[in-house]
Amino acid sequence: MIKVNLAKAVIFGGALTLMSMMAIAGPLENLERERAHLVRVIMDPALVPAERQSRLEQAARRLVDMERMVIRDKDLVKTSSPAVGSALTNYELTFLAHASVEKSVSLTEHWLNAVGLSTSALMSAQIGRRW
Amino acid sequence: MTKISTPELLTKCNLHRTMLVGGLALALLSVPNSGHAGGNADWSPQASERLVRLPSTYIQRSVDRDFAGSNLAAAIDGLAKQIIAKEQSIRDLMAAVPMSEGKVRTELQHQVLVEKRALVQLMGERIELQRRATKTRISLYTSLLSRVVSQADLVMPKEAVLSQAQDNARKRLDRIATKVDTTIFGNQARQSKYAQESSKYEMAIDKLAQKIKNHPMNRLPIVDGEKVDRKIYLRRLIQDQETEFAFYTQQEELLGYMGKLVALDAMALNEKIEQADAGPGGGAVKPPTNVVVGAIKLFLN
Repeated sequence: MIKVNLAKAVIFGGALTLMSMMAIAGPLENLERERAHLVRVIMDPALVPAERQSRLEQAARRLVDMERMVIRDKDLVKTSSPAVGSALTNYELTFLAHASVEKSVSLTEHWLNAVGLSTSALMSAQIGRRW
Repeated sequence: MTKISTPELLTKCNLHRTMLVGGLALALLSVPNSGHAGGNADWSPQASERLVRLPSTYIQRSVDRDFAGSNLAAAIDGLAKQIIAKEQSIRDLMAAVPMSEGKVRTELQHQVLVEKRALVQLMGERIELQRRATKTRISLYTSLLSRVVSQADLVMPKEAVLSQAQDNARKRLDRIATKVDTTIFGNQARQSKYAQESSKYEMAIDKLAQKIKNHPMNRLPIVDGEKVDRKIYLRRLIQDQETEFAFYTQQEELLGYMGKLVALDAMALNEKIEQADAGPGGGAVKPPTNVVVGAIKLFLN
């Protein structure tokens, strides 16, 4: 009987811990996860162009919603996390979907430009040993 | 029964009046000095949370209402009524003076001076009470201001920076939102559930925000034709009260001059009575100049 109760308590405690961990994930974390997924789609060599395009479009739609959730989240600034500061000061990378439309470029191109991988930079790159 | 005044009695009365007028003149030299005006008349408002949260335009009205119900306001009001009555009494007496003669006239003039002295004292007391009320208002508004400022300071500087960054990002994002909807979703039907629902909420929020903005209890006070925030409004209120405070000093100076004028009038009346008592010759006993000549007679006999 005691063993059964103990097991129930452990399960209940575990469920509570899991719920609290789930509650921690706010709009910003969700946006970061979605953006990471988008970057994986951009860089995945296994995808054919049509499939990549289709997945990118789906990801862009989700990104738009999440970016708006982040921007409307009033509690965001109350958490003194460095991630929040970094996200809000790096508009180009945080709000990828909106920033790409603003600049009238594709999502992929915008991301590559934001991380410093422009066409001219890639074209002028040389293969060589780094000393 | 007719009261017969003997010459001794009349002289005694005149002497008594002369002493009174002289005393009045001396007393008036120290007017106004009303340090204990109002007795226990008091007003002690508190910078309560309700007052801090009240819309700016209502702060002054609420303070005025609170003051109107205080002992101090009642005392000031009572003094104001006494002053009006005293002024009327002086006017009546002054009107009666030209129509009287002799001792009655002197008596009336004396009464005018006594009433004027009382009026100056009453006005001094009223200024003292008003000064007390203004001082209380200044400390109340200062306390409110410090609470408003400390509430604003509760926002952490880092939080303020992040909030500013979020605001900037929101403005930039809102500018492009329609274009994003057209480019990424194509048309309304393809919009996500979040986009559809949130736009409904947003519209409702906008309507409510607009209503709150236009609500009479939420209107920003207007000072010199421009809308000002709570801090500036409270600073203006303090400034106004301090100006009021400066007027009291001038008013007291005026009372001082009034008092001195009454004192001079009292001295003039005193002089007039003394002259009248002394008779047409002036009554002054001249010291004999021929004392030695008179004494000669004593030695010659």
